[in-house]
Amino acid sequence: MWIYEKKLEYPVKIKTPNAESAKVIISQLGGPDGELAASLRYLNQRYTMPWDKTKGMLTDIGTEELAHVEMIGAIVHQLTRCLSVEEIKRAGFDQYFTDHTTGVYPASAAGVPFTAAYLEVKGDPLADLHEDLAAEQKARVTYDNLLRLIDDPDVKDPLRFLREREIVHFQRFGEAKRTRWRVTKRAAEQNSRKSSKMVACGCLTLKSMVMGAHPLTAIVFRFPQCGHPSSERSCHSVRQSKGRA
Amino acid sequence: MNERARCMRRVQTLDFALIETGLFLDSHPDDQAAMEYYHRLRDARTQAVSAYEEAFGPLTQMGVEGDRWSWVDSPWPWEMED
Amino acid sequence: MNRMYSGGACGCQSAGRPQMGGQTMCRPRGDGQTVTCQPTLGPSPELSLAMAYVPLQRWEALYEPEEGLRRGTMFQMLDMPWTVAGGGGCR
Repeated sequence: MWIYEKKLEYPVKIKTPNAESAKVIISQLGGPDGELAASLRYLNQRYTMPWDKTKGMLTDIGTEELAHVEMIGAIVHQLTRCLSVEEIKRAGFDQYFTDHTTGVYPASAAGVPFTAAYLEVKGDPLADLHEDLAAEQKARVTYDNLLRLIDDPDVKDPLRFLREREIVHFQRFGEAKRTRWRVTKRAAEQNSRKSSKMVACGCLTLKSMVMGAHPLTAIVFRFPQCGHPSSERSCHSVRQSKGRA
Repeated sequence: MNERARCMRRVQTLDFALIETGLFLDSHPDDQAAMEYYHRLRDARTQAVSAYEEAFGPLTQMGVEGDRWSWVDSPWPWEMED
Repeated sequence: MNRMYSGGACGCQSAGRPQMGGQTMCRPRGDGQTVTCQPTLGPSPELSLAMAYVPLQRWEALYEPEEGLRRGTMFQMLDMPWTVAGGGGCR
């Protein structure tokens, strides 16, 4: 679960409101490569990660991304303080203002509302970790673009911080991908006797991988989706009642 | 920078160092140098949080003291301090 | 990291030289039980083909915490700041 700390991860102190900047920075809140997409991606991927280190990594980076969601919200909030109607019109902020006033609404720079279509949870560790590596690079590029567009040093400062975090996260996901599941010989022998048949309760066991096999060729995962502690026993009893597969 | 901002900055600094160390340890859980750094930093962080909360109010709900719910007091993190 | 069947467990090393034109390692056969000396799946046992790799960072070259917060990382080797590009260069 989450506890809230009444502070930002990095300070945001923007002296001069600027609706034009707010219009583009909002993309890092509700856009395709933004912090909200990142946090939901990582926090939802962790359930199907077989390795402890990767579960930890996805939990911790997903949590940090929530802190970044808050920072972007703070930036947009401070940039849209005390705006006059003339300023709103001149900045082209009138369309957003019509629907959201100066509320902080997760949408892209183009005005597309946030959607889970921006993230993927493939349920396969390799696919998910590669998705995460790509996500961090795309977020980094978005910060590059914002730093090109924006001049105010008060705004650039937290953006530079957030950009650097993407680079560090990329390194961490790369390291997480190196994790090997240390299969003991006994576990491998047990796994290799199990069938690859989908059984009634949703448990799916694939052929075992022993150390040395390429991860893409044969992978051992057990997906107990029955939602109760005896799920593995249920799978065994179902398999036995249906006869040997 | 006023006193509150200075105190907050100290907490943010130590918290960030702990976040960064924690991420490193997620992929290097047996790294002894990192673990030693984590313990040292965590002690410093505990002191910094106490100092901030004593002077300026709670950073988490667990930090509320006294007979009123100071948790709701401004400033909230996204607000400009004037 | 240790592999279950690495090194000379199946006799790869004792053969003296790489077989079949490349690096070899002990790998299991399809039944998951028998282990034989077979070609590796890439340049070395640590680097398979069809995989992407990021080197493992070491705990070294740290900034002081204040500098780390300012830069967005505690690690000097991960500090890769954005530098200004002029733009419009192709016109």
